[in-house]
Amino acid sequence: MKALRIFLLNCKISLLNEMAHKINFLMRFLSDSIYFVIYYIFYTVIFTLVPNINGWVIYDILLLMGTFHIIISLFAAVFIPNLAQIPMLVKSGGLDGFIVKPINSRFLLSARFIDIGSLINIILGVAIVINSIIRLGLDISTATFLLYIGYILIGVFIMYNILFILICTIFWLHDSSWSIGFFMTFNSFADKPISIYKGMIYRFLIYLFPIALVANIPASVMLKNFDSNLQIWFVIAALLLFYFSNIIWRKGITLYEGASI
Amino acid sequence: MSKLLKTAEIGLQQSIVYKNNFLLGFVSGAFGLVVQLVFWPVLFSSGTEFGYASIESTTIAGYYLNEMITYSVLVYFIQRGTSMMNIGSIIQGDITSGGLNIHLIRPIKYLWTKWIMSISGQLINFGLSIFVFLCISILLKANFAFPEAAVNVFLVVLFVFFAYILSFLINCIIGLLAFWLLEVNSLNTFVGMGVAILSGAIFPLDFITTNFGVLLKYLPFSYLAFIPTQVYLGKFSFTDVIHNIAICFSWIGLLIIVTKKLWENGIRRYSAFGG
Repeated sequence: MKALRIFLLNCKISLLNEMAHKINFLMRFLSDSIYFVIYYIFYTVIFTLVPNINGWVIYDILLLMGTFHIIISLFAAVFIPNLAQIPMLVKSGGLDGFIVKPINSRFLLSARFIDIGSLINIILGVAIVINSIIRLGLDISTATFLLYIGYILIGVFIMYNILFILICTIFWLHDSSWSIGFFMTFNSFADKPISIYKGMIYRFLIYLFPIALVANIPASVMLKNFDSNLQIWFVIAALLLFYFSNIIWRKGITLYEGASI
Repeated sequence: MSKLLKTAEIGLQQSIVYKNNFLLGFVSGAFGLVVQLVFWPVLFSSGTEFGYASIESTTIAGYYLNEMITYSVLVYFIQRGTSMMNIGSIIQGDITSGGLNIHLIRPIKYLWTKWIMSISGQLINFGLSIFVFLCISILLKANFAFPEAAVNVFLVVLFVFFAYILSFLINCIIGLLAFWLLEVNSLNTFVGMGVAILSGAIFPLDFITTNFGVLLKYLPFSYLAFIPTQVYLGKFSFTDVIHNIAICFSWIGLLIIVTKKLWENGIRRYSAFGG
């Protein structure tokens, strides 16, 4: 309860900060949407040349992309601004101030600030998903909708844990400022239909770093082409990643030497 | 001459200092390439559904699968070898922070310094790009299109050099806009993403079958990725090559004039904050 109160208070502070720079707020929305726009153009052009890709028509793919846009916007709003600061805090010794606070230090480090600018980007993703649902004539029940939302949150949680593990390499490598850029490009695997991956790449993207599941599983619920085994694995993978990231964090923190790194 | 050589030496040293950044950029950029290498065969395999006998005989917008794979790999390496996106940010930083002051009193022109430092700094990147490109082409040789004549290789190197000059000039122009706009980082992002589409880095410009696609081939951006790959794939006749060299020279000339004008007008407005 205390954690939730602190989180909401942080949201309020972040909103006040963003409102102080309104033009920047708008520019952020536009620049964050460009990646989506580029791939929208890409698929629009591709589908003028072929009728479908592995059985997927354009609105199936747009629904998947819209879902990923919602996930990445949520992730960028809640976790990136916070995780990005960890390498600097470890190097400067600023982590001391977090470890001694009477609240879970991992939670405090992970959800201190909220980037409202990225949160606004969700609107674009939601609009694309709704448009795709209408175009595909999908009938969405309340249960499907709730499951979709739940899986989106699990997708965000999986992304958070993968990035957290990468960031934690700072305790061993003494630098992990590369990890965010690395992780964001790694996400190029996430907004493509899972069926295009085969063999070793498939196993890597599903079982080792399940990034290919984060948008595909929620989208598959809407598209009603889901694989129940993969859905179960999706939930287990989220829990396992959280468990392992916690172990890595605890091991890492024992190597932390204050301001002396 | 010695001033230019010294500048080139500094650029080379800087690229060695930041070699880890380059390697990480190379690896993380490769994820995008892997996605494309996975994506194109799937797309071409759909060809059998619209009348082609096999994946190998399928053509999409005039490209066979091996040509499409080669296109993606080549574009990736040309981009890694010629990418100068940070030049815009560096120039903007110098203008807005007042860091330009120190350059103005040096006995060498500012933009010349930037050009020499970037080209020497890219030497290692470029060499490494060629090496990795050769390794990948050998690895993918069953699905890779090799140039039909040695002259194509020479022409690709020439067009890549043109791409380098154009990339530098486009980024300089964006950086110099900081004399008027002060904050050009968002513009940099917009232009970077726009250039990715307009240069043919995301898909070949032939995929756009309307007149707009034809127009795109004449813009300077197409020389950053699309045109060099067409030369490599042997899709250009001798006349096409000469024609494109002439267009490319015209764009380089025009952009040099724009850059000079922006510099001359901008420097009159420059207030030399801080520094």
